[in-house]
Amino acid sequence: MATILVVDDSASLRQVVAISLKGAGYDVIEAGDGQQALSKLDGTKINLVVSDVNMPVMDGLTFVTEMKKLPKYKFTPVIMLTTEAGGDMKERGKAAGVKAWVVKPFKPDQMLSAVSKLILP
Amino acid sequence: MSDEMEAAKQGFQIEAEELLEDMEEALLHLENEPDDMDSVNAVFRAAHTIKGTAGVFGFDDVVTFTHVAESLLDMIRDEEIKINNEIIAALLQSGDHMAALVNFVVESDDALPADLLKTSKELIQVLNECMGKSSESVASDSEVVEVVEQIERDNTVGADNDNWHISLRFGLEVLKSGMDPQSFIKYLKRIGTIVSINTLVENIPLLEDMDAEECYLGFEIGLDTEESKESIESVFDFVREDCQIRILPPNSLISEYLALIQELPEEDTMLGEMLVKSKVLTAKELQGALNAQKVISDSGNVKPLGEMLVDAGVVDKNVVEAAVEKQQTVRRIKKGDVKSVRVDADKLDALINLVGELVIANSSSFLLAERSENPELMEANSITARLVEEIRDSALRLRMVQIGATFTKFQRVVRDVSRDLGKNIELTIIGAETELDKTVVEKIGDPLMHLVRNSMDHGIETPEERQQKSKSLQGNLKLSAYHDSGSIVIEVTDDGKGLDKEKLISKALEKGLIKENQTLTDSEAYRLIFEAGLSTAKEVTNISGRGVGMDVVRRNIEALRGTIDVESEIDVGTTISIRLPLTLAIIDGFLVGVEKASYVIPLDMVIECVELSEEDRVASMDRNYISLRGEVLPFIRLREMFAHETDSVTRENIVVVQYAGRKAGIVVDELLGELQTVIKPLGKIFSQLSGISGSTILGSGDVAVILDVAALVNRAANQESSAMLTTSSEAALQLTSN
Amino acid sequence: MKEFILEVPGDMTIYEAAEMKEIFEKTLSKNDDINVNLSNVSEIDSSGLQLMVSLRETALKSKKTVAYVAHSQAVIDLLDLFDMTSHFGDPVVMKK
Repeated sequence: MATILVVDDSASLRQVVAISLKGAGYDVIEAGDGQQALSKLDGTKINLVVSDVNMPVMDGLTFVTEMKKLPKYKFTPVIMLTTEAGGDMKERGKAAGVKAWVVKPFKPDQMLSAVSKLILP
Repeated sequence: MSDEMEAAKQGFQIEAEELLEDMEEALLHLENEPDDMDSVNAVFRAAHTIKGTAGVFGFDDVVTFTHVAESLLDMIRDEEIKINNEIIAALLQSGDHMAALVNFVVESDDALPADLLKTSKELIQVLNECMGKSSESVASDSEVVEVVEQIERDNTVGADNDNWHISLRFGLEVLKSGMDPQSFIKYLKRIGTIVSINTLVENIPLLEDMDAEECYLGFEIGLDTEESKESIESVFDFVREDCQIRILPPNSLISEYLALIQELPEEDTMLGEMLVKSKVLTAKELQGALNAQKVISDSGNVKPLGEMLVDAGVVDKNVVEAAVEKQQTVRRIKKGDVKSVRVDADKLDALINLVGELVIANSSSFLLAERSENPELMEANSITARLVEEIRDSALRLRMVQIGATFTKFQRVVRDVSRDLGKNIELTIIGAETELDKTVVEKIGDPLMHLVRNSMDHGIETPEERQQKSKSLQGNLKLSAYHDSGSIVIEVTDDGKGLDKEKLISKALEKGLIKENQTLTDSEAYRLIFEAGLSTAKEVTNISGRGVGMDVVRRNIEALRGTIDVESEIDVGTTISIRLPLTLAIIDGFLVGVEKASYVIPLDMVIECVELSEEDRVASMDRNYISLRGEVLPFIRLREMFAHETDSVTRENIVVVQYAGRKAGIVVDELLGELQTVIKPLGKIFSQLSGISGSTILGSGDVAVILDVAALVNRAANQESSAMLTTSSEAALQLTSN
Repeated sequence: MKEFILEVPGDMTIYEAAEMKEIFEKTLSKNDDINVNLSNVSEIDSSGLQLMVSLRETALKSKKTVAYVAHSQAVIDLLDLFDMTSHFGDPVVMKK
């Protein structure tokens, strides 16, 4: 079963995303910011990360940059949630190894289809 | 599943509420400091987050509306528009409207009611005007994203097949970023049938030249699907930048296939064969096409291939994307990195309740330890007792919240009301970080609101009046909070005209609230404003001054076991101080007994205790008052009220209590002394009972009823029907026998 | 020369790719006739497939032989998805 780490500071957003992903057969782990997300990288197999950019404590891009330093997670694909898919953000994302962007606001179905392009449950 | 969804929605409602509070705070701040970019960002972030989360829930009405506000904020952030008071006003209204929208969509699945729709429409227009747009030019997200399929299909010169052709050449970096070509192909299988697939492995180097983490794969795929070109393209959204992707619809012009063949790096004939294999071209079509191409190139008249593709209507979705995704970085406002855990208030109450029982249980074991005269046991017990007390204090602290949020809400009130009144009033907040019990905070809002409005309406003068008095034109209203010996003091101070003592007294006389030759201290006179039916306002405005309210304020405060005080000076101003206990969970009580049952009277309402003399006892059997030092004191006999069995005891005591300026006596058998105890709220079944406000468990394990003095004083004064008494007495007996 | 059996110890994903490549190169430098046992491959991705192709091509070039045997279900599924079952010319035993 594929496990997805969902990182966003809105608990209710995480909840909705989790409901929809779990419904499609994925396992979901949640974190409220980058720091919390890093603490979830304890060796657990994570097949995909879905992360917001703007979060308190540690933002999404810093989190991804840190994650990619960990041997066990350096090839984990990342979907970044943002309304700022503009040049600057994408450049910074690219440097952090992010290729996939999903624009907020999105519907749970859109997230599900984005996720399933990268990994099937 | 739907329960989870429901919980998530509730969560969203709370988040939105908090975000909108932040937004309002930031907007009010911007009124004074329009250049504060941090506040602009805070407002933007609130709108942005609400829009994002609302979208996930499919709350399109919220998204559509918030989107417009967000666009305006974006322009302000980019300094395309300068913020001004009109914009702030529009955004404040938008915040209110967002709250209304969120509340509606969370609670109901129905379509928006007409009034909300109307407000949305009106506000969107206002916001657009702020952006310098006319209302027609507004496009909602969904309109922007819509892309019209423009693929030309030519049945006359088209290839004869029903399959899409997809050419994929993955970029070297694809695998490293965690993407695996196989997932995309698996996904294609979900949206259609892969009729043919050719995996191109020719580019994979020999081992010694290979970087095993790079991707060298390519694919030629024939796909049978009902999906649109756009949705096939979207499969490769995440790799589009690194990969060469060509998608040809069924029955494409043969020239398009040709263009494809030529543009791809592999040998023409090989690719052509693949296309034939993919069943998108027949061998004959390919041959003809290659020949035709040769003729054209021989004549030196070759159209650039890229151009041919564009001509063929291969839509570049990036253009559309750019329009939607133009927003830029939001700098996150780090509000001091407050780390917190959201806990259900009920759970906290349950914990505090348990801790309360622990305190009681501990005091009973302490008693036993003392009786045993075992010094070690007593020592151990006193250590436990200290720890338990610390636990109780920390548990109570958990429920402490800062008063700041309550105060901040008044920014808006002051702003709106002063505008309505044509006054210029500034609100100063002091001690926002002062903490008090959440249950107190919840109940203090309404009384404070009344006091604030009252000060603005009656206290602070109009700018003209202030000018005549050579005061600063801007009036000042101050909300402050501080801790003072186990209480919290909240003050509402204005620099207005002050209270007119003489006028208050004459009015009170008129209403019969005081006697003709009664002398009142200043403080007593000022407190008259809290008497029912006394309003000094010459004209009744719609804000206050209806004569109801101030007495309600006082009652509310007293219900919180608080007191209220007034200081005032003519033309200097008025200060109203509210003193409240830090917590409602613990009460200093006075324990009294009737037969074997115990009752607790809140200590701060007890004035004195007197033994009931034999003659008073006899006299009081058939009337409900005694004469206490010449004063008539109505009283209530707990024995009668709670219908205790025996009706005669040899000695009785009377506890004199005062509530809202009225005194009454409570007749009991025994006075058992003071105690500090934790209040346990009564269950629902007892909620209808009057005269009881809660219960507590004594060290002995017995239940004691906490008396609602306010109700008792009223009852003593009225001595009305006995029907209610009977009901409450039965319930009380059940309670005591538990 | 004697047939050498290389047992792939586990997954063949991007995480193992660099290491697998070294193992393949080393094995190829010491043996002429290699049987690669894929029974332990519970997960394989495109990088694993690329390595399989490259090992075989590299061997062919130096007139050596590589045969893949005991394909795990994961390998079978991937070859099937890419329509490459016949590419390697190895008998693939479909498991029940």
